[in-house]
Amino acid sequence: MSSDSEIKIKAGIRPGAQSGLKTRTIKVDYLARVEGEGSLYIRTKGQEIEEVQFKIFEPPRYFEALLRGRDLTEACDITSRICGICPIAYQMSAVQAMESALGIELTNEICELRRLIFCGEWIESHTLHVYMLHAPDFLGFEDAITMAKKYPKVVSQGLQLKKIGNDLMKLVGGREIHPINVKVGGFYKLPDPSQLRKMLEPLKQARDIAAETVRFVANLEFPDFERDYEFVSFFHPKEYPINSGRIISNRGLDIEVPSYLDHFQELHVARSNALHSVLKERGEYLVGPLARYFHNEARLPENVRECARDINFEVKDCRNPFKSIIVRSLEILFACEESLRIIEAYSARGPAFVNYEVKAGIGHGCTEAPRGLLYHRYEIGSDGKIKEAKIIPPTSQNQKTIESDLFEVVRHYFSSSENELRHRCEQTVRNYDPCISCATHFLKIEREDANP
Amino acid sequence: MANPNRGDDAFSWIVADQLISGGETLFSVIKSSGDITDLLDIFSSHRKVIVLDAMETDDLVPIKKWDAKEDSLPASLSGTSSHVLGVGQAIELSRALDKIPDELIVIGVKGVNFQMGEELSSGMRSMIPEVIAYVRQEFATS
Repeated sequence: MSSDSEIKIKAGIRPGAQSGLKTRTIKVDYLARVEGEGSLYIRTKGQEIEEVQFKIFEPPRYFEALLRGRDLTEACDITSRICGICPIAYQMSAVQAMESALGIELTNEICELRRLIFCGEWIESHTLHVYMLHAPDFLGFEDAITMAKKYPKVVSQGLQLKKIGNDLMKLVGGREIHPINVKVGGFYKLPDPSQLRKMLEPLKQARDIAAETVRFVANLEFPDFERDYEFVSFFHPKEYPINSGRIISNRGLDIEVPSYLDHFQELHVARSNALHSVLKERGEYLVGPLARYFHNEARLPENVRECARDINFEVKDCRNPFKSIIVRSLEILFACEESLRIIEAYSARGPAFVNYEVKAGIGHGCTEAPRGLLYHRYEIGSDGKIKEAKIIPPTSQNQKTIESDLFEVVRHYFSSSENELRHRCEQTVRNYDPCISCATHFLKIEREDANP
Repeated sequence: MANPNRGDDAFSWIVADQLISGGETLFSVIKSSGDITDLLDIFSSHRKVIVLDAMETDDLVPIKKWDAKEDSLPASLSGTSSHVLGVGQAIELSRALDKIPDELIVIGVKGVNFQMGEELSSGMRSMIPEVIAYVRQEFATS
């Protein structure tokens, strides 16, 4: 955490550097309020930015290799272990891929329940980020704990919202972290309608809190910073997309999920254990709430759109990455509204799952995880065993864009103090709610200035 | 608090299961995965809470106790958590929100192996009776 940070400023001539240049190093041992192990390295020389690297050094986890030889039914539970914050997205992309390989057609009720449990994940994941991880950046607090002393009501409301997201995941999925009720073809057991209906009142309260949250974050102070992103997300003609749609961009991409690998490519860069994903034709792109909202704002329920109009938030504002906190808040409001709609219509008609016959095939699954598109591809043998697996998470898709944002932020705040620059860089990474997964981080900014 | 699939991190739930199967009546036994909202709910709805957690530490003492109303917890107590917010942050947040119970005791038990898929180590297993007695004694004196 920042309070434990060691801040060093070293002045002197670096070996090999031009005479008169000053080297300054800012070292922050823990980049707080993100999930995972990574670091940031920025080197400036005089007035030039020489290098910006967002490094992910968390060891490779070999999930794709470990899936080989496992039964197709196991993929959703194994891949959900990749992330404790967004396990549903992993489950959903995995089962969707298997169902496409096996030609399974789901009932509308199963699709709606899957959308419901996904809403629970959006609520708990977005709320954690908005209140605990990102809001302190804007309000000048070290963390949510110090923020809670000044804003106890706000933080309590955030916790209440997160709990409702957890409760939804538990009711539909069996437990809130790494749920166990999802299976290929549907669910092991349908949730009890009377238990779900008990969520109606809490969800109505959550909806009110979410609307307050939107108003609260709209009053934060945002840097005057915009970039011309290629936004990539699902597009669905009838709904705000979560687990189905075409993959589109604002620069002409418009594809079905099975064509994903024809257009996207993963590249290895030495500094990162997460592969960088690029569009083959154009390079970096952005996935996540800003891209979803950019393409699908018109599909949001009217009360959510009205809430956005009340705070004068427009689609073009998605070009400011710092405003992702507003879009996440609007998506929390949407997820509450959508959960209410699904629960009110739910009657547990059944069946809980659709039967299927195992056969060889290739399946693709793609869903909108809270942080953006999550793509899975599996090749299944005639014995139902997984022969090949490929998983492309949203954070690796955003890595290049995060680096480009950092480059522009450093240029924008070049004359700022070291502390200000460091804070803006950390905040820039947190704009993406990167889910590198687990613990420590390291931020290092190195400058060589012409004028010591 | 525990992760039952992570070697010695399973310790607390194994202790909890034994307390539950023994028909404990003096106090409630709650198994938590450590989600911050869960912990805050528990803290705000009970007068006295004992948090039992396995910890990774170089400390030679196998069982350590903190009065969390008075003391700050060592970072190592949250060090094995895969979540961005751990028990230490939950306690500090409950203090900031004035939701901390009248008595909040944290018992950390030193583990040696927190690898995924591993069994509880024999050293930890041998400490179960002692920790159960320790917890019962704490509640018997309140």
